[in-house]
Amino acid sequence: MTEIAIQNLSKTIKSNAVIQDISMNLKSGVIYGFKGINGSGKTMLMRLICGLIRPTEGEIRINGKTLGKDLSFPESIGVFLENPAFLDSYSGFQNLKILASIKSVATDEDIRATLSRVGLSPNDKKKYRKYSLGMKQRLGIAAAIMEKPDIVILDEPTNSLDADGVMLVKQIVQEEKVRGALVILSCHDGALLEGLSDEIFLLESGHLAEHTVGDEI
Amino acid sequence: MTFFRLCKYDFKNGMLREGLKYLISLVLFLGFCIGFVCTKGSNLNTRTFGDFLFYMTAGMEEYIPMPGNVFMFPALWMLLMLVPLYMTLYYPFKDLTEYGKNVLVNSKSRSAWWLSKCVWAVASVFLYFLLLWGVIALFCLCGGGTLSLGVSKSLIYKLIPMPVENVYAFSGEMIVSGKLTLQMFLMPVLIVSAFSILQMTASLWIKPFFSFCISAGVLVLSAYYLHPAFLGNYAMSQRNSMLIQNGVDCQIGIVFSVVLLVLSCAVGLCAFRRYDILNKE
Repeated sequence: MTEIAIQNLSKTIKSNAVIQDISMNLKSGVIYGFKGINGSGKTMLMRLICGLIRPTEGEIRINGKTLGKDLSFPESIGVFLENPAFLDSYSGFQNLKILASIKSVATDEDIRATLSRVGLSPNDKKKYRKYSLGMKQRLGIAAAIMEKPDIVILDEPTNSLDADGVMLVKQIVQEEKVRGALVILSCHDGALLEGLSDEIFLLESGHLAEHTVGDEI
Repeated sequence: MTFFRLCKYDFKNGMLREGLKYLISLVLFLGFCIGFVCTKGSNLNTRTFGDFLFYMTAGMEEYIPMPGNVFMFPALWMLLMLVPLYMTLYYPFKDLTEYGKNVLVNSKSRSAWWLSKCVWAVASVFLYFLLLWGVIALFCLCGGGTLSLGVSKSLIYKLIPMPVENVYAFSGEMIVSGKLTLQMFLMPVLIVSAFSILQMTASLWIKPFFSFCISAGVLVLSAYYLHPAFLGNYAMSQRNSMLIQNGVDCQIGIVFSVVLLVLSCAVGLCAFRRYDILNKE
C-alpha cells in the first residue's frame, strides 16, 4: 500500500510561481487525473512527485518518508514524462535492458513481456533512432511499467498514438490500477482522462482549482 | 552496488559511444608527433619517448611583458589540454535531460549519480592521455626512437634558453629524472581531471559552454603569468622548478589539483542534491 501526502506544496522557478500551495492525498489502486491547460503546472507537479525537482515550500511524504530529506526519489516509481528519450543506437529491448540493469529488478523475460504488452516486438532489432513517434511513445510507456512499480506517472502518454495505441494505453492504465499501483495521469484528451480517472485534480496557474471524485466526474 | 552499476552505464555510454572523439584525438596526436619530428626534434640524435612527451607538455617559457616581446600563445599545449575538457563537457548534462533522467530516477540516488559522473570524467581524461602515450610509443618504435623516459638535453636547451644549473649537472646527453617524469605524466592528467570536475560543477549554475570558457581562461592566464596560483603552470613541463629558476614545484601542483578536484566534486555533490532537473541545457 503506497500513500503520497502532499502538503502546502509550492515551487518557484526564477521568481515565477509554477506550483502554489497544493495539498492532496493519493493512495494505491486509484487512478488520478491531472487536468489543465498548457502551463497550468501538471508536469511540474509530476516532476515534484518524482523527486526531479525540489519544492520551494511544503513537502511530499511517501509512506511517511519526506521526499528530498529521507528519500532522493520514491522507492518504487515508473515515470513517463513528456517526450520519451532513449539511446539512439540501441534497440528498444537493449534500451530497456540498460535501464533495468540499474536496479536489477526486471528480468529479460519481464522486458520482453512489457514490450509485447505495449505492442512492440521484443525481437525487433530496429534501432531507436529509426522508431516512429508512436513507437517511441510506446517504448516510453514500457520503461515506466516494466518494473511493476508502486507509483506510475504518465504525462501525456497518448501523444502521437493512433486509435489502437490510445486503446492500449487505456487498457494498460486500468491493468496497473488492478495490480494495485497508484497511477497519476495527465492527458489533453478530456474525455479520455475523465473516462479513466477515479479522481481528477484541475490545475490552473499552479493552483489546485478543483478536485472531483467518482460520480462527480 | 548502484554506484558501480551507474559507473558501468557511464563508461558504456559516455566513453564507448564517444568513440569518434577519441578517434579525432588520435589524429591530433599523430599530428603532434609529426610536428615534433619536423621541428624541434628534427636534429636530435635519438628521439625518446620522453622527448615527445616533453615537447607536447612543454607549454611555453615565462612571458615577461615588455615592449617588443609579443605574447606567443602556446597553441599545442592549449589544444592538448582543452580537447579532453571539451570531450567531458556535455555528456553529464545531455544525459541528465535525456535518457539519463530515467537512469537517475531508477538509481534512487543523486549522490551515486553525481559520483559516477565524476569517476567517468576522470577516467575519460585518463583514457585520453593513455591514447597519447600509446601514439607516442608507436611513433617511437616505428620511427627508430627509443622508449626511454629520459629527455634530451639538446631539446631542453632549444626550449629553455637559460635553464637552471642542475640541468647541466646531469652527465651525458639525457636528463633522466623521476621528478620530470612525474611532471610530464601525472600533472596534465591531474590538472585536466580537476578542471573537468570543476566544469561539471560550474555547469550546475551556468551553461556548460561558459564553464568551458572559464577553464580555457584559467589556462590562458596560466600561460601569461608564471604564478603558483594559476594551476595551468603545473601542467607545463617547461615551467618546472627543476628546469627554471622561478619555476613551479610539481609536488605543490599535485596538492593543489587534488584539492581542487575533491572540492569541486564535493561542492557539486551538495549542489546536485538540491538541483532541479528541468528540460534545459
